[in-house]
Amino acid sequence: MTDYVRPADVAMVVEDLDDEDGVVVYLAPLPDGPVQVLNGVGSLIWMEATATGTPVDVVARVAALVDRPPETIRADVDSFLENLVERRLLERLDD
Amino acid sequence: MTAHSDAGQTVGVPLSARLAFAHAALHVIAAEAHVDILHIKGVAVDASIGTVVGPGSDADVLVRPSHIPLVLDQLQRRGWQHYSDFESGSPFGHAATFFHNCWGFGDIHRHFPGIGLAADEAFEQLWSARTTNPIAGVPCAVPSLEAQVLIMVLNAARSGGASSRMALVRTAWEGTPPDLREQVTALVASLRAEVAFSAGLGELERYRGRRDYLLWKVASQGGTRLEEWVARVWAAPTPREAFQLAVRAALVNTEHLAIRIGHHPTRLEVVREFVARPYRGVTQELGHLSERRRRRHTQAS
Repeated sequence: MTDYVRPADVAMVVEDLDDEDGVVVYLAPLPDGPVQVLNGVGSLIWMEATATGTPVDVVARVAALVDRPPETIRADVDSFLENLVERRLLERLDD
Repeated sequence: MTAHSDAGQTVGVPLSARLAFAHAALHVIAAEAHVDILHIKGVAVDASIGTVVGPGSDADVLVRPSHIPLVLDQLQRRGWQHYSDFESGSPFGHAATFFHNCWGFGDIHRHFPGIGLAADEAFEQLWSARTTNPIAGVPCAVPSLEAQVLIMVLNAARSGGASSRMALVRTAWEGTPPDLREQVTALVASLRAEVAFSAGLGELERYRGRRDYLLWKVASQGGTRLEEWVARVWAAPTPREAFQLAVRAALVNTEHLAIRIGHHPTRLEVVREFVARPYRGVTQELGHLSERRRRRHTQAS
């Protein structure tokens, strides 16, 4: 389990979509930008990773939401989380 | 404004999100420069008055007057382009406008129109009662709720005859809880904002005869450019300022001209504008006069 947070220099706006498409997450590195957009499963992963502020099993949480066995999505979710960390849109606290 | 989504699509960024990011960016820029700013209007206001105020079209901040040079310098370092100056931005000379490719327009206020107290004292008063509002997840300093209501009404006082906007604000004011109204009224007196506040609520006639009555009449009800300049000169606190304003009235505002013609004006274009302005002023004045006559005639019949 890993603890992820939104980096302090990244602003965030979450737009709730009024249908089953879930949410869109707009992220902006401050103060210069540009805005980056996460939607679909990408926004779901980011939201779950930053939801509690305590170490969580992101894969298990996402798997429950998309109704898939964790092992079938683990590689993709982990790789996406790594990508978000590299892009400074997510911070891993155990770093 | 658009951005690239993770799936490689181009996605439109909602106006309210862009404005929230603009405020968040201004917060960081101010913190870097050790500048005190208060986020005002639009998406920065308390949810209880958010629907009355609306999101606006730019991010407005009120800056401690002595910190203005620092923030202007820092904005330019951070890629914000200067769009219009304090003197040329509005009849009140209160804000300079900057533009950022990602965040759009930001209005940097050195005072708020309608507040009669000296700008530095007014800021200190607002600053000492500030609170925090998370904007785009960033804790931004905002005025107290009573000050936000005051600013909402003062802003309506500059609606230039947009009666629906003033009616909306008046209805909101009438629905404000009595204890909050009492706090706002006390703040109006303490910031010496009585005339403009009354103008925002459609009660300006209570202050007929005050030096700034005409200025707020034009600001709240609309008027010609000539009426606006006469009102500004009339409202000037000292004869010296009145004289400076009268001189400025005759000069061409090159920033406005640049915006109108789409490029920085040449000397010839400035001269042409100098000659054309009195003619346009007279035409506007005659148009206004005939409109007033038509209205009077309609009311009489």
